Amino acid sequence: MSALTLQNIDKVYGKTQVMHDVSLDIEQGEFVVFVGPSGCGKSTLLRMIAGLESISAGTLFIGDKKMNNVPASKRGIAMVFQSYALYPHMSVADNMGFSLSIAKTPKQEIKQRVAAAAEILQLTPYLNRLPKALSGGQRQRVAIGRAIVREPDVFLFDEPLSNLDAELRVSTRREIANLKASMPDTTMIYVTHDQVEAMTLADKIVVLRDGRVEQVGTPLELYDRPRNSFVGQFIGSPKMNIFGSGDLAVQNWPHHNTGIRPEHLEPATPKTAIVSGTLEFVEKLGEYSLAYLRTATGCEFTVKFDRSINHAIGKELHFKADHNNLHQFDSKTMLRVD
Amino acid sequence: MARRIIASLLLLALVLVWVVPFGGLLITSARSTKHANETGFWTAFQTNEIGYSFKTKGKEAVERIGDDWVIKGNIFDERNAADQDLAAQNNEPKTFDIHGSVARFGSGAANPDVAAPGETIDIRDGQFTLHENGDYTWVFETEYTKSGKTIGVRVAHPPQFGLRNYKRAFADGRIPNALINSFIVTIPATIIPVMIAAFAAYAFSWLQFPGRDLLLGIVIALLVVPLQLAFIPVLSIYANLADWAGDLSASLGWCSGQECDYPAKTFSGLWIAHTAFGLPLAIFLLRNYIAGLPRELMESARLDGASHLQIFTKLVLPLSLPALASYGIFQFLWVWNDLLVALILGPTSDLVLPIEIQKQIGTFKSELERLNASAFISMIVPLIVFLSMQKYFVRGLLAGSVKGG
Ligand SMILES: Nc1ncnc2c1ncn2[C@@H]1O[C@H](COP(=O)(O)OP(=O)(O)O)[C@@H](O)[C@H]1O
Ligand SMILES: [Mg+2]
Repeated sequence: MSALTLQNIDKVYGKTQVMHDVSLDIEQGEFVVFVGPSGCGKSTLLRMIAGLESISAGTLFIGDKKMNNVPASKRGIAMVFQSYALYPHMSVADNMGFSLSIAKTPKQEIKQRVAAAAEILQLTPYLNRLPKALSGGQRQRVAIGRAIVREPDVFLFDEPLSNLDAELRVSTRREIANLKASMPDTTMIYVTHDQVEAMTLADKIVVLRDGRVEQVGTPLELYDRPRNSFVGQFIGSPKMNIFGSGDLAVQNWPHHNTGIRPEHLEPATPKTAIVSGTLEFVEKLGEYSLAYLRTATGCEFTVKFDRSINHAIGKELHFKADHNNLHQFDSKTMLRVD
Repeated sequence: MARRIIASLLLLALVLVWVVPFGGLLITSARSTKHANETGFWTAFQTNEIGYSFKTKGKEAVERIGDDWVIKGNIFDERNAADQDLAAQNNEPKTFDIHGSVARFGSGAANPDVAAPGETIDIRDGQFTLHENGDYTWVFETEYTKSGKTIGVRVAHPPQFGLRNYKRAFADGRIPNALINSFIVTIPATIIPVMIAAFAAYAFSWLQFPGRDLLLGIVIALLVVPLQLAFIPVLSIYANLADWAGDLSASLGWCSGQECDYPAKTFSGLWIAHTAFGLPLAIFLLRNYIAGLPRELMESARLDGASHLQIFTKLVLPLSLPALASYGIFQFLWVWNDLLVALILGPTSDLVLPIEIQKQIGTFKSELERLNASAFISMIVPLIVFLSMQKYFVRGLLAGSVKGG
């Protein structure tokens, strides 16, 4: 039995439809990441699951219960908001215990559960502080603690790291991964526009675009076998090169576009080359370098070199790629062809 | 830089515009009638020459010294003693003593500038000498048989302040009564609209119900309805209501005859009127504030299982304290200073402070300092309210709830 099932979910605001026929199965204990560009409907989908937005059409099951019209607080979910949404006039402890005090839980038990959550999140010294006296990372942890205290079946995160600076983001990401590991039975749904977060955290990634599910799979499935060129380009950094059939030296696939990831292109001789281009620009990142090139037919592409390269700008370079690393997409539908 | 100077000057001007009249009122209210009437409050801290007329002692005080008949005395001491006696007889607080030094004097109230202290002038055929400290001697060659004479004296009077005017204001009981009445009117007339408006503002911001925007539009449209428009209809409604209630009580046998004439103009009528007149603005202001609270806070509370009432009491109310306090102060000031509504709809026997003061202006027209004391009493209350609430004006209560806060 799935922990959470979405069947043909639509969302309509007035006349504009923002979610189209979303269907999804999420297993208990899975860490699922919704990823997609800004405005694709990730938050909307999450908020429909949480019960903060109505479901225009389709059915939502949590466990085996239909949840379309169940109020948010009765769905067994907890949500961590992008802005943290801490109650500014309450201490950290009161913030974390708010849901329990609303539910009229005995004071002693509230105290225990808040203390336990604070222990996990290293918030014990701050329990009596107001949110404004905490750093961004600490506020983030209070928001997570508030969710933990409720012992939900499903955790929802809406871009929880986007307000943190880069360094803190990496360490908090690891903490979230640890948190998940310590709660193997709890399902987590995590929304981000950052594919790196998605790849590093997820058991299962759901790629969304314009309110539609583009592909569902494990991080490696998405990397190895993107279902269309959008997923191919969205997953992986720097993004996948897409060549039209005329851009390549081989012309086996007349109606296909070919996707090759920058890290899969290797230097070659003119004879063995699959693609050639003039060097336009180089970014040296120490660990590796990125070269930006343009084919004779005008198609721009990127190549990732292990170390720095010493070719002059304007020089013509040749590349080959392992056959297994070529992704064929139909030039009209952009769907993968195998 | 230039802008900062202009801003500072502007601020200074504002402070002066506010503080000068306030200071004038306060200073005047602590002075004696004569001082307040004859010199400006800005001279209150220096020695002023003020013209008095004193009455000397008469035949009853004549002594025979050598060949002469002599009257001796001190104009200040005699006058102060007489004033205190009079005040004690009338059960009034102690009067301001006259003291200081004689600057000039003359033989009548109309000509105080004839002689300098220590000089001798001729009054009623006697040699009258007045010294700087007020001591006088009046020497006659024949026996003096008349009563005292009024002389004019210019006194260099040092600054003098006292609480006499306040004591008098409180002594006759009308000001304290009016003060209490004003509180009875103002406190409910502030709290009721603030509470109702807070509920309404929450509903208009965070509840979905049909006709919400139309209703809000109507409320905002009511902002421009002048309150004078409503006086007569409201008064006649109150009158009808009182009649009707009287008839009902009579028919139920709860009262009889005169008892059944319920008053139409009551405190509760004032509360209702002020609430009704204040609500549109209150709802408008509070809605703007409450609608601006972060949506995610409300959603978070909903996920935590809070009902609308719980969200309102545990979240919205504490977070809106600055807005509630600022509006509450406005409403308090408005009701406290209101004369018009209280005059038309308020009780006719239990007067509020502005009406009482307005009546005193007629009674004590020449005693500016006494009116000023009453005015200051009515003014100090909103000032205390404002100063004690001002910490709620400090924003930043929201800090820390959302990003960057
Ligand atoms: N209340 C709303 N009314 C109308 N359109 C909305 C509303 N909320 C979101 N949308 C639209 O729905 C789409 C998805 O928004 P959202 O789920 O917030 O995207 P994101 O993936 O960035 O979280 C956007 O195009 C947005 O403009
Ligand atoms: Mg979003």
